[in-house]
Amino acid sequence: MELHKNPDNPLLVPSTAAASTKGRTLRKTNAALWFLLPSLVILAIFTFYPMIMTAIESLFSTNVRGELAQFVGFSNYAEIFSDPLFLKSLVNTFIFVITAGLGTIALALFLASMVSDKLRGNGFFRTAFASTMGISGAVASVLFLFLFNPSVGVIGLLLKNIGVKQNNLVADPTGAMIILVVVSIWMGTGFSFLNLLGALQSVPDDYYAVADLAGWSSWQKTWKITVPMVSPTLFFLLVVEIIGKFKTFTEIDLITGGGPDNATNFIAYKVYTDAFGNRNFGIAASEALVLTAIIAFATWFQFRFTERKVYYK
Amino acid sequence: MTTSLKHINHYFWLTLVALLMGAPILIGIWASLLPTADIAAGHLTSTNISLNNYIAAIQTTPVLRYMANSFIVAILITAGQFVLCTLAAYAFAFLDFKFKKQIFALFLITMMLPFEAQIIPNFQTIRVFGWLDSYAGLTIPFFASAFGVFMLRQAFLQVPDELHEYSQLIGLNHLQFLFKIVLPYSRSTLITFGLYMFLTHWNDYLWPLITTFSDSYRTTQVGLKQLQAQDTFSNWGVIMATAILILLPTLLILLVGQRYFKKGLNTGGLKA
Repeated sequence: MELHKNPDNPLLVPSTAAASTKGRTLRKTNAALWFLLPSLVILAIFTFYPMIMTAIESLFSTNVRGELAQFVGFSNYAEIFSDPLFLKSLVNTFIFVITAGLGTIALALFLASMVSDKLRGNGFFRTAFASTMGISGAVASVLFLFLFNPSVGVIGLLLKNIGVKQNNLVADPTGAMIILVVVSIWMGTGFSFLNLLGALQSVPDDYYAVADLAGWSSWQKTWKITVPMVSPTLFFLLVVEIIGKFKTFTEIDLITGGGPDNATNFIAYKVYTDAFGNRNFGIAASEALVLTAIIAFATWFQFRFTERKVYYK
Repeated sequence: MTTSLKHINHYFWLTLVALLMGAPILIGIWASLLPTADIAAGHLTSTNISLNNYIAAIQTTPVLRYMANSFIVAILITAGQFVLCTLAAYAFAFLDFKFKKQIFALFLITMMLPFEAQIIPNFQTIRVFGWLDSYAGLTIPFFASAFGVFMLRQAFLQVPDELHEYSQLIGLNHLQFLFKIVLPYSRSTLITFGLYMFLTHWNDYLWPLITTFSDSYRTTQVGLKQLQAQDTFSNWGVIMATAILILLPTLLILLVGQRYFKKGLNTGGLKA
């Protein structure tokens, strides 16, 4: 390889290079450039350029091939915010994100508190509770489509047996939303569970010992020791979960297709259908930027908060 | 209540909850072993179990091809990210250079930008490059990862200063220091990194959905949709067998990697 032949190659410069002279600083900057360049090139082509293009496209009308046709200013934004379908998808997205996000964390906290002490056998259950982590949206969708199937699925048949007339939940607007929330909670619990387990276990035992001496009830211990101690983790998870839920796509595509009656047509899915289904790239671009703004805000919030958490430690 | 009764109570509830959480997978595995005729008749308690659905899935659907594609794609992305992220993380951890803070911030900013918002121009770029329906199109856009750089940088910063000074003393160059000291020292993070990235991209859905059109490059997750859309949809036995096949590598990785994931989460939580 080229690297070995060229003695001036910055990658082969001894890692000593102290920054005392101008020449050396320059050399180090060169070295750093070699290390950073591959990542920067990929990011430039596949992250920064497309972000800028999306921003530009959102200000244009486009033809069916996605090429810019005419500058229209902010009228794409005006259009989506006066489009009842987009507003409906915005509302539905928020309903989904909040119920699925809170549900995931509540279930994870419940599970973590059940197995956080050092009882025998808890290790096995920890593995069991974490096991849904990493399962793909597509596989989860198929597993749940089967469970909820009105004529062959365990839950579908159960609903039928207890007398629910509309036991085909996918065909019902509320039912479809419930399925997506259930799948989302099921998929997300493992990650939150492991995080909360770590937080619960890092609360010093002494605190509880002192509380016992002071004669506190378990209720008092929960609210005065446990909750404050794990609250940074809870907050961190809340933001992470919210960002993740906003991006939900696979389960919608496979389970509901956005229906029925657009009840589960969330923003991320609407971007996709408007771009690759309706070929309305300008509209899709402005919807994508609204999604970006929401996610960027949540991420910024998370970074600020995590910093504070480190400070407190 | 006596202590042992309390324990029995505790384990009873734990078992119940674990069964509920595991039910979708357990029922899925059970159904994958049953003849479709029995499933269609609602006889989930049938005992006609066999591996016939798996044989049918492998013989009548391209699931093995899809799995091979996913495997190739996930391995290529993980390898690409390993190289690019290691280099960038090394620079941020051990080198001083102009605009270091700003460039690091630039990397972090990309974590705020959802891929969903980049997908339209990226699709057009890939089309211009002639990479639609190809491994290049499926992998190269993911070679850089700000999250990966961040994760490795945190690990590299743990390398003791003494080791850094010592390696300078004996005149190791950057690459020697990286390969002989930094990477071996960060082994457990690297394993976490590899497993995490492989899993993430084994599960990729939206990008392969948009950019692949043929079974030669279609990946498992999208393949599952393809199979479901075809007439095999009513063949629940085969569908469940396919889903379980696709799930197996995931479960394997989680089993092997659990130790590392937990460790990664803990140190990540402390350091992030």
